[in-house]
Amino acid sequence: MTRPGILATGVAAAGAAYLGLIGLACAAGDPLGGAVQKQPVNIMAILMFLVFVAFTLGITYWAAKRTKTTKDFYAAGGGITGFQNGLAIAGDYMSAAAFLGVSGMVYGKGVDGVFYTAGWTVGWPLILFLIAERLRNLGKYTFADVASYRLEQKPIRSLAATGALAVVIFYLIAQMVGAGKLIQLLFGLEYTYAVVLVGCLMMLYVTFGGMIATTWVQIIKACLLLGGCTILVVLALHHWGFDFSRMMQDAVANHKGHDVILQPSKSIADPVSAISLSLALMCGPAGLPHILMRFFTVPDAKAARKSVFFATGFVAYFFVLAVTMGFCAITIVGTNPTYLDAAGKILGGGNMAAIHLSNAVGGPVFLGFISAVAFATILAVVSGLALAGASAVSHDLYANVFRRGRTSEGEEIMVSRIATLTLGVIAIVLGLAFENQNIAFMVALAFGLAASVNFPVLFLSIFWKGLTTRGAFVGGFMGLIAAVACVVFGPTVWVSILGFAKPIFPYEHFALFSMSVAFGSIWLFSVTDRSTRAAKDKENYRYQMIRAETGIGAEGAAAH
Amino acid sequence: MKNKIYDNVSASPLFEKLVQKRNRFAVILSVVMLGVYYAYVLFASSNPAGFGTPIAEGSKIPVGLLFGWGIQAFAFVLTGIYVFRANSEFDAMTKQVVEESSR
Repeated sequence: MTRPGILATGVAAAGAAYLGLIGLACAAGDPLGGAVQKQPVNIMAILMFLVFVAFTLGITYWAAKRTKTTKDFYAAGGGITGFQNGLAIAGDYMSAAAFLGVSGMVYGKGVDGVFYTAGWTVGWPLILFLIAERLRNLGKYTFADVASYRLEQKPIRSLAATGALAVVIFYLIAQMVGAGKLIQLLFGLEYTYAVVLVGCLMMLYVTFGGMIATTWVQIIKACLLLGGCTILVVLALHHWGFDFSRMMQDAVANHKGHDVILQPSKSIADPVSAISLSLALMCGPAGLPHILMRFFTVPDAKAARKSVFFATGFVAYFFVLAVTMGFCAITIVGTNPTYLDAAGKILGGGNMAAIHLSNAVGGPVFLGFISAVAFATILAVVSGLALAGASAVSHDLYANVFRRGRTSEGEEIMVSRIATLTLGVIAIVLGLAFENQNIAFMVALAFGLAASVNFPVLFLSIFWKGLTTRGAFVGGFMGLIAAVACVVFGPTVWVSILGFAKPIFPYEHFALFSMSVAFGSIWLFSVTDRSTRAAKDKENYRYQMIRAETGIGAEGAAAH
Repeated sequence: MKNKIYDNVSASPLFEKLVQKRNRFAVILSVVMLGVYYAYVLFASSNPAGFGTPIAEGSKIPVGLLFGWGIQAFAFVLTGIYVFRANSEFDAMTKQVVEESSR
C-alpha cells in the first residue's frame, strides 16, 4: 500500500457508482449510497489541483475588474466568441460524471455506454436547428426572458425561475456529494473539506468574476479534460500498437461476460424504457438553465450557431474517448490484481476505471494530473450551476417579478451576489447532510424537471402561437408535479429509499410520461383559455416571431 | 417607429421566403437526425443480438458501436451543414430584410 492515492482496499464497490449517475442522468445502475473509505493523501494530485486553483483565481481577479454591468455579470458582456462558447458549452456538458461514468459503464457493461453517448450527442443538432438562434435573438440573460417574452411576466417568470432553481439545487447537491466522494478516493482528503472547498471556490468565482470568470474556468477545464483524455487514450491504445480491433478482442476475452459486452443490456432492451430514456437524454440539455444561459454570452445569432457546431464536435469526440477508455480498461485494469480486490472487483467502484487506467499507462504523475482534472471538472460545473441559479433569483424573481423591472444595475448585481452566497451555503450544508444518503433521485429529478418543465414551456413559447399565459403556467406546474410523482412513486425512491417491494410507477425512465403530461396540459389549458390576456398573448406572437427570426431588437454585444 | 419596422417585415415577401426556406431546412435536418437516432434506439431495444454482431468475421467490434459513433459523427456533420448555410445564405437574406424594412 505504498502507492500514492487510490490504491487501498476496502472501498465499497457501490461507493463511486453515483458519480456515474450524476452524469448518466437516469441510468440504470447500482443504487447510490454506501460509504467510501478515505485513501492515503495523494500529494501529486493535490499539487496539480492547487496550480489549477491558483490560475483560475488569477482569472477571477482579472474578470472581477471587467465586471461592471449586469450584462458583464450575467452574460460576460456578450463578448465571448462562438469557438470559446462552444468549448464552454461542451465543458458544462462534460461533467466528471460523464468522464468517469461513461468509461465506468463501458468497463462494466460494454456497449451500453455508446447508447447513452449517442443520445447525449443527438440533442445538440436539434438545439441548433430549432432553438439556438431564436433563444439568442429573444433573450437577454436567462431562458425565462424568452419564455415570458409575450406572456404575462409575473406568473411565467416565477414558473421558469422555480424550474431553473429546482434543477440547479438538485444538480448542485448531486455534484457536491460526488465531489466529496471523489476527493476521498483521489486526493485522500476528508469529505467535509472537499465539500467546503468546492463550495467556497465556487462562491469566489461567481460572486467576483460573474459569467466572465465562470466561462473562462469552464474553457480551461474543457481544454484540460479533452487534452488529458486524448493523452490517456493514446497511451492506452499504444499498448496494442494502436490496433483498435485487437484491443476489442482482448476486451471481450478478458471481461467476465465475454461477448455479452457487445450487446445492449436489459435496461435498454425494452422499447418504452429506451424511448423514454432517449427523450430525457435529448430534451434534458435544452432545459438545463446553466447551458441555456451560455447562448446569451455571444454577440449574435451567427456566433450562437457556431458555438453549437463546435460544442457538438467537442462533445462527440470526448464521448468517443470515454468509451474507448472503458474498453481499454477492461484489459489493462481488469487483469491487473493491483487494481482489484479479493473478489476481483475494481477498487473504488466502477467509476474508477479511467482513473486506474491513467495510473497504469502513465504512472503516478499522470494519475495526479487526471485526478486534478476530474476535480476541476466538478468545480467548473458547479460554478455554472450557481450562476444560473443566482440569475434566476436576481434577474427573474427580484428584478422582474418583485420589483417589476424598476431596479438599478448595481442593485441587481448585489442581489445576484447575495443569491450566489446563499446558494453556496445551501449547497455546502445539503452536500454535508446527504453524505451517506441515496441521491439518485436528485439526479433523476434534475433532468426530469429540465425535460418536463423548462423544455416544454420554452419550446412552445417559441413555436406555438396559441400558447397562453394560463396554459404555460398550469401546464408547467403539471409537468413539475408529474416529474416529482414519477420519481417518488417509481423505483428510485419508492423501492430504493422507502423500501417498498414494488414501485407504483413501474418505469425508472419517466420522461415520456411526464413530458406528455406537460405538453398535453399546456395545450389543453391554452386552447380553452378565452381571457383577454390570452388574446394579447396570441396577438404578440407576431412581434416575437419577427424578432426571433430576424434578430431585430435583439441584445447586442457590450462595447468594451 | 418600432412598430413600423415590424409591419414592414411582416409585409415583406422576402421575409416570408426566408422563414419558409430556413424552417423547411431546419425541419428536414431535424427529421433526418431523429430518424437516424430512433432507428438506432429501436435497433438496440428490439434486436440486441443484431446490435452485437461483429462488423466482420472474427472481429469483436460490434455493429452497434460503429453505428453509435457514426451517429455522433453525423450529428457533427449536420450541425456543420446547417451553420454553413445559415451563416451565409440565410444571414444575407436576413440582412436584406432588415435593411429594406428599416427604410
